[in-house]
Amino acid sequence: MCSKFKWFLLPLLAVLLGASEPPARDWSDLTVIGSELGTETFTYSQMAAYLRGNNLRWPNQKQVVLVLPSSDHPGAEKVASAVYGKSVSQVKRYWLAQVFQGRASPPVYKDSNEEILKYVQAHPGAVGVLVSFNGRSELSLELVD
Amino acid sequence: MKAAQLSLVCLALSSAGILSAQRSIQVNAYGHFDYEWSRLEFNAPEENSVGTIVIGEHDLFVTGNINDRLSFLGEVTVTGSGTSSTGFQASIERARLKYNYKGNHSILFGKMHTAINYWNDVYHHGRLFFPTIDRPLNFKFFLPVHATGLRAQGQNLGKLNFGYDLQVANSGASSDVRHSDGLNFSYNASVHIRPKDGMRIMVGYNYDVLPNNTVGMHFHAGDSHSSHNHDFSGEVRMSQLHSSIAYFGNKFEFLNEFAYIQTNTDTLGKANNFTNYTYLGYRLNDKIVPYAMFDFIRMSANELHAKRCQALKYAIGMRWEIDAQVNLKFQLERYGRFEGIDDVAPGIRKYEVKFQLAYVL
Repeated sequence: MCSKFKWFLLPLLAVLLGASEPPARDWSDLTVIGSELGTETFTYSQMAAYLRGNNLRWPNQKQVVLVLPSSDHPGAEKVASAVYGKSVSQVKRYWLAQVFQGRASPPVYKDSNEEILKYVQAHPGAVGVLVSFNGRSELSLELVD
Repeated sequence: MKAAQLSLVCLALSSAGILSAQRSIQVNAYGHFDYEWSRLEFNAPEENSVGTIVIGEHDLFVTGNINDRLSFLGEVTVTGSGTSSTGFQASIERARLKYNYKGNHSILFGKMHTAINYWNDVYHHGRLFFPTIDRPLNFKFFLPVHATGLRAQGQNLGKLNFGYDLQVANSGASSDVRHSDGLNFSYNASVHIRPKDGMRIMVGYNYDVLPNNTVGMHFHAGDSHSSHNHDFSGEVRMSQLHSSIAYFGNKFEFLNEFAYIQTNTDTLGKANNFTNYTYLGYRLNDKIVPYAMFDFIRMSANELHAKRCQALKYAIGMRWEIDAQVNLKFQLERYGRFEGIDDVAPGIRKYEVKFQLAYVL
């Protein structure tokens, strides 16, 4: 019996050993903004979990609404790489899968920083990611290690 | 059939109308085309070779928020049918309401995919997401794919991203569209953790009673499916212990699904059946994933719910993710005897070459 099952256990062990932690990701060019989330300070890992759709509610129990750069946004690749560790195409498929599973609501996609900012301002519970944003916004969240 | 087609069109039109009024509605259309060529043996006569282009399952998927707490998800498919005059039939595969009452805890009601192992809980009818062309063998025999009932669900709780799915639903004997005699429910309890991105480890238990060994559309595509044992009409009590490990990282992809299924009848007593599916893929780049797959099911001599068989298949293949919304899979597979696993029925010893083009709009 054991000899049969080694064929299933060996690849498993190989994968688990090979499944190393992803490299540290660079958020330096990203500005995360949010509206009425219950707090304005998050750790990077907390915010990454929200942006991956792991949480349905903010600390104040408002529904999480994600506002992400569309594939036409010039910073889409940076967000895909920094937040998800994936390509733009893989992130798009990731969200198709999350929504299809029924475990997360679809993000809202916007083509520019201005559109993301405008949407987040108008929707309590919304969080957005701006790329190479040089302006100032009262909605900016503080991210700490 | 006409009523089903009409409902499909109505759903599409109403969804399109809602789409213009509210931004929170999302409508997608999933579909796939397959080409399959099979041959019983390499040295078999030419007439045993079969090659066919198949119009696969086409799927209208709708999801949206009714309010801040309540959401709806619906999935209607049109697929090939040997009993329909047009060759196709429509089916409501999922229709469920979800009430997110606190944090990541929700109550769901309606028709859902049963949280039995990773594949059925995650991929549903979306061929675009399948890592291989075929579903695991257990789908043909013992897996109650859907259930209509009530479920408590939690997800991403604590550091290990713990999740639970506790479900009471109609028995697999139910058709969901007519009342059946007696009061029969099925029960499913599944828990999982996601210790890191892309990884999920899951275990669970499912129990169901089929009073006359008849099944609705939840088991192996209904009564008409060739894997169902139509010759037995006694009560079947079915327990299913299932576990799965999935890891889909940036390079390695791995999925193992195991199930121990015990069916119990007054005629032959307990039948202990096992099945295991293993997938291993390696992502060469953003688009190309070569993979291997190994799948088997072993049934007891006492098995009465399904037609007894010992099935085995293994395959190599490649997935080309052309775009986020389109992929093409190629698979070369063999059904049949393998050293150490015997009693494979001669009829299923064959080779297959398959292509699948899957997409979403």
